[in-house]
Amino acid sequence: MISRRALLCMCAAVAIPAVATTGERSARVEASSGAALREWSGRVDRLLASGELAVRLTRDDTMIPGRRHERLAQLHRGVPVFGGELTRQSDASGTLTVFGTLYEGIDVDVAPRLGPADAEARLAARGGRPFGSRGGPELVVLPLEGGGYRLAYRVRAFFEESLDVRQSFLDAAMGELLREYGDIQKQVAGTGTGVLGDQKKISVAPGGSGFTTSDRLRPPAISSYDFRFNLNRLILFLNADGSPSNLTSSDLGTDDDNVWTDGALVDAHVYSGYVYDYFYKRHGRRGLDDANIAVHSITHALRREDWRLYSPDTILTFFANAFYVGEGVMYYGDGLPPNVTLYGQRVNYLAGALDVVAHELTHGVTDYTSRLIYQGEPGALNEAFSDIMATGVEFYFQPDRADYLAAEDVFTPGGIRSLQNPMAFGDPDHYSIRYTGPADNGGVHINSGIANHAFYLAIEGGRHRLGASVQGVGAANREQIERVFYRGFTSFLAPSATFSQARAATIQAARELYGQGSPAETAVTQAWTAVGVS
Amino acid sequence: MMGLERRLALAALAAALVTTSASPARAQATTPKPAKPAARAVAPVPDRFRLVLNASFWPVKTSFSESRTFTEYAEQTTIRTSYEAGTGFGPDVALQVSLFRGLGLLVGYSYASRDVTGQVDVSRPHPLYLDRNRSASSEISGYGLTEGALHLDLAYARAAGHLDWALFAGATLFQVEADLLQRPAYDDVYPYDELTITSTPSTTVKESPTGFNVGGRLDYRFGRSRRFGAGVQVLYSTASVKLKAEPAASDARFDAGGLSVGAGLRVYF
Repeated sequence: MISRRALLCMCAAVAIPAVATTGERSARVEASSGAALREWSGRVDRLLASGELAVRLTRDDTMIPGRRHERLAQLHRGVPVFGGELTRQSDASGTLTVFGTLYEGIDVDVAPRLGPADAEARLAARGGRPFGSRGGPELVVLPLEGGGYRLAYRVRAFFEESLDVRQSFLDAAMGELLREYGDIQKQVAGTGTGVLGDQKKISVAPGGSGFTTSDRLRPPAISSYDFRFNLNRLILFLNADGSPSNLTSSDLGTDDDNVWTDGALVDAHVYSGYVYDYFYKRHGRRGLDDANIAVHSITHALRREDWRLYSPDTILTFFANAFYVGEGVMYYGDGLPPNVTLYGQRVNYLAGALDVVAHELTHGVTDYTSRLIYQGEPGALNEAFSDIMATGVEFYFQPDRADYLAAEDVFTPGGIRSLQNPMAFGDPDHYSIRYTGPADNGGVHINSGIANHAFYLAIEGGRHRLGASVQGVGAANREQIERVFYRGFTSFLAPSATFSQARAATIQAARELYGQGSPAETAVTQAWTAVGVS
Repeated sequence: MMGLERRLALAALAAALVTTSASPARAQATTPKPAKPAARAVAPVPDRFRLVLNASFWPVKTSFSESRTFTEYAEQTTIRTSYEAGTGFGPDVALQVSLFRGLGLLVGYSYASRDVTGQVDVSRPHPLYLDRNRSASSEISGYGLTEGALHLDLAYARAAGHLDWALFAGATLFQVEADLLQRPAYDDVYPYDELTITSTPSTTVKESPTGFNVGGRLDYRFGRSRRFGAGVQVLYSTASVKLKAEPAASDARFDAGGLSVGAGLRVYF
């Protein structure tokens, strides 16, 4: 329950941990010290004891020894509340921080009138079917955008006709569609030219009469697949829930002499390893799930020359796009032929850009941590986190040619987003001009520019377009800001996080990693302020 | 050639003569003095055969090295190993026979054992990244180098009173056994940024080169019989050795033998 007093506390002292409300229905929790922390520490214990919270995930802190992070899912009479989750950081002395969102005032009967099979039937009538291990149907309490709650079935569904994956929420009483959004986290489409031609080492395994793209040198198995332009193979895979168990060794990329010339396959495979290395070396993270889940990359599903045979949506999803399927599975489109442009850009093999691979794999990290809802502000944060980590990976492995552009190696000229200057691509660089329309899942690829620019300013410093100055930590210390954002986003944010919560989470992370009043904390604080997030 | 048995017989005869010449003297008080004492027999100093038993010391250390390059992780691994064989110690046996005015032949065998230490420097490719070789070094210890040497020499020996000396030179057939680095064992785990050598197993490699030797000996012969003695020896022997630890390795080249000094017993007969 949120008190007016707590709300006033937040307003009176910015540094004091805070609790805020959004309308009448949810509590945004940002408690990191003082009375609010004591209050929430006790409240979390009580909610756990009463069954209104349940531990979803527990992880040891990889950055600060002795600390532990828990993700506590909100339940209403045993039914998960979609987006309701707290993150609790603790050490031997007790609770250190509590972040997240709790929904309040829920008065929903949790006995569904329809069964899961009914929900699947309703979905099937719309051409969809459950997809992936978390496909559902899962009974949830759904906070409605207009206020109130409904008991609903959540289904992550694959729609074969449109070759699309969506999160669908069906009313558990009447079966009506309550909410739906695309759940393939995609790069914005563009155009590109040929293979970059850079030499790299590729970790493979002997197999058959030659070698296969199976990396066993890293802790997780990293496998890359060549669907050999077999559309049926792709549909078969997607119809089988997109589960990695449906990928076979016969799908692996092969080469006779171990001198690999298939650029897309090589890059998908090698860059997947680089991204693992980055998260391990920079953040101490062991893969997407921090437990070395296997990574599977799919290439050459559709022949780029066949693009004319498909709808624009399919082109944007399966040709000029890469996306995280789930459970460690990645899909990389082959782009478009060199003589074809999309919105004035050429689109090369998507796997050819390290930041694209890193971006999509970071969606996997999000999937195993904050699960930021891919819509609205949390969706924008989801995208921003992928852009931010992708930029970090690029500077880590390609320092000579790294920049703050996204996907510039395959969407040419220019890339598709800029962390340095989001406005160059029409994306907002300030919260005051954020996109509030329905397109792009509520602007997930658009409003990401706000957080992206905050990240840029926190490193490079400078004056925001609207005037605010930021004392960045400097490029030589970019690691600090990368770690701050990683910690903030993976440890403190809940599925329905807002920009304001992202600000609080990253400031908290900066304090924990580098101390109160540290240049990193100052940079992050000033950067969020500069982009209008308070 | 005077046989040993014959020499022993002559010695016994001489002793008998000495004995028989003393006994009449003790009986002189009671028996008439002989008109003329018997002629005294002197045993010849044996110098036909010289048996040499030395404990020898090789004071000069020997250094050698080898390197090998081969493909690992799609790039070149280079292993450079330097060895240092320490001072050697071992027995030395020779039989020298004089054939004509001190000239003769010598057949000898020496055996030297040396402890070998060294260092290995490895440059090994990173399994995951191009042009990012890791380096590691490790000391080597516990290796050994043994050299058996069969000498066949021309020798010249002379005696002067109690002193006996000899010079000799000739061919030497070496039997060299050296422990060389096999392949280092590594602690090379993800993220593979650092390479540590955990052990340096060895492989024993043999070669039998032919060389030469030259040396001299100075002995002192004891007593009146001068059949036994003691002396010192200086010997220089050498042969070029080329050992290969594995096909990918370069030859480890060094000279076997070297200067040795020995001391020991002598038997003359």
